[in-house]
Amino acid sequence: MNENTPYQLKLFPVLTILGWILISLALIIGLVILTPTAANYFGANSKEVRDAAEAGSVLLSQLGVLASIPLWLEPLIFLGVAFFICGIALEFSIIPSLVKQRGDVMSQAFPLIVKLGK
Amino acid sequence: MQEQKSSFPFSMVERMMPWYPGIAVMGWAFVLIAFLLALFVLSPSQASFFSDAKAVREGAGVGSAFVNANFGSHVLEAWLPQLKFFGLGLGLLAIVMALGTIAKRLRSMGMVIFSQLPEKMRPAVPPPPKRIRLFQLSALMGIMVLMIVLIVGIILAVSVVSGYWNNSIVNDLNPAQPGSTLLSQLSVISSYAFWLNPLRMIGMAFLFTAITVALTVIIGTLRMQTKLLGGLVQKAG
Amino acid sequence: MQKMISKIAPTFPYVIWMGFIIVILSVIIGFVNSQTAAAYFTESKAIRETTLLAERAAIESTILWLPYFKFLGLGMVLGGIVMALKVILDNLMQAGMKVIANLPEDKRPAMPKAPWYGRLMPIVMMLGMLIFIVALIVSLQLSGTARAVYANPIPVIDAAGTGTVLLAQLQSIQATSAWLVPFKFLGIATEFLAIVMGLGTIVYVLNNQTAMLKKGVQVARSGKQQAAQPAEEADQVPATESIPT
Repeated sequence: MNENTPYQLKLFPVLTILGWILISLALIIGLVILTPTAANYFGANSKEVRDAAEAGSVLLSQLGVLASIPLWLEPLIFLGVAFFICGIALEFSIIPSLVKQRGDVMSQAFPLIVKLGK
Repeated sequence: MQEQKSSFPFSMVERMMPWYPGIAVMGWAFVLIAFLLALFVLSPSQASFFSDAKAVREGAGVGSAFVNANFGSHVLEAWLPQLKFFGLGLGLLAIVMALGTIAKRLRSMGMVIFSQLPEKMRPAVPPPPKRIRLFQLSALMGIMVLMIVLIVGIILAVSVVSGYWNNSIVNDLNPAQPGSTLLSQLSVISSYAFWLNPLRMIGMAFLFTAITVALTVIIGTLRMQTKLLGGLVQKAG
Repeated sequence: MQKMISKIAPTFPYVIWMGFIIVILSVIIGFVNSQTAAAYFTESKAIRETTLLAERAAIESTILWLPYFKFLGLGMVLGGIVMALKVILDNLMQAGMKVIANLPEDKRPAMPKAPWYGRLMPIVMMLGMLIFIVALIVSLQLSGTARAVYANPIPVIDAAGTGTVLLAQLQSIQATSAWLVPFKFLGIATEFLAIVMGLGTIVYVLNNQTAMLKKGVQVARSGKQQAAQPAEEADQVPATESIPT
């Protein structure tokens, strides 16, 4: 990639990699933190015990994790998707000028192709 | 100027590329079906469940309208989002297939132009980039992940989810003690979304990557053709 | 209408960046909301449900409208892609015309009209955007209802029975959310469909231009040969005529 490479072509791989990082991170957090926490909170405690949890208890901190992490993790996943789509949009945005350039060169080359013929 | 035929399974993938209009319509139809089911089945179920005080709806026994409505909602919510995402995945797959077709058409257009030149004047056209295989594989991977997620969703809906929610909340679910079947079912129900939802996003990520790579192939082809034609004009000039 | 769309389409970079800014804004708001939720859930159930009413109302109402705002942003990015496709198509057609302009006017092959799906593409894109806007308006209404509902302590909400305003409001939030979530995804699917329509039109134009180019080269060559023939004949005539008989 030289200096003449448009910024869109420099930026889209970064956005794609960021998209992969965010979505993979969400899967890892989901698998390593949220799934075991939820399984333990709901599977190892009756409703009576869960509801009676006092401030500062382990159960309440587990509930805090389950209630708060998804609230920022979901927008983060969405941001990952947005990075992917923006990368794609940047690639699309460069095609009109490439088509125009190709058209210009082709119109110059056409009489030559006719002249040189087989 | 003839292109070399691809080997199996890529030859099959390339044969399927022009089917993109059908795939796109099918994907859109899946999402529409998901919306219609939500509008005509899920929404009335929710309205029916929330038609009385909490004590009444949660105290209702098995077989009552409240339990049935709650059961229906939860079963539907276990597989319907997966169907919706599978539909979106098909939409993305159609985009990848259309981009693949465009890349192929651009290449054959270039071949047609250069074949009009005398053999000694024909510029050397580089072979198709290896990235073509990458976007084909990435698209296949993505749609396969989404299909697996849909199957897992259906299995969960007909097993754990339906087994748990077909009970009275106050009489059966709330008193469940650690070690009971109900509580172990609850543990699965309340945790599966935390890994299944990001997994389906991984499927989508594969499809997005396929689109990104397919676009680089098109951009590369356009640049290469501009360069070759420009070279021809310069040489003749 | 197609001309007007062609005039608007080149503004696609602004639409894409605007959409991206909306998504970033949504992420920031979502993060702030998650901090409120984290603080809320550190308190015991009794305190949460009877005292921290404003916090609960803020969390619940934000959860209701934020995803639709976010999807509007994503919809704008996808809409921007469809607009970029329209510009690509226009440039492709212009390039084709430029090449064909090398041929004598009476020998130029007629440029094919855009297929029906190409003409429909902007309308489908706008339909998708309309879905996002409608979903956002409904979600803002729901969010207002949620603020009213969660201004009450949870035990009061739980006790609300048939015929009460509170239960009707809660019922409306649950029943509407059930269809509103897949509705916004229908918007995304509609934007994907518009993109495929645009790409399909590009395939159609490329197929036609390839055939036209092939034909154009042949027409130009036969025209050249025809033009060359009378000239050759003209060169030969005086020569034959000059031969004294």
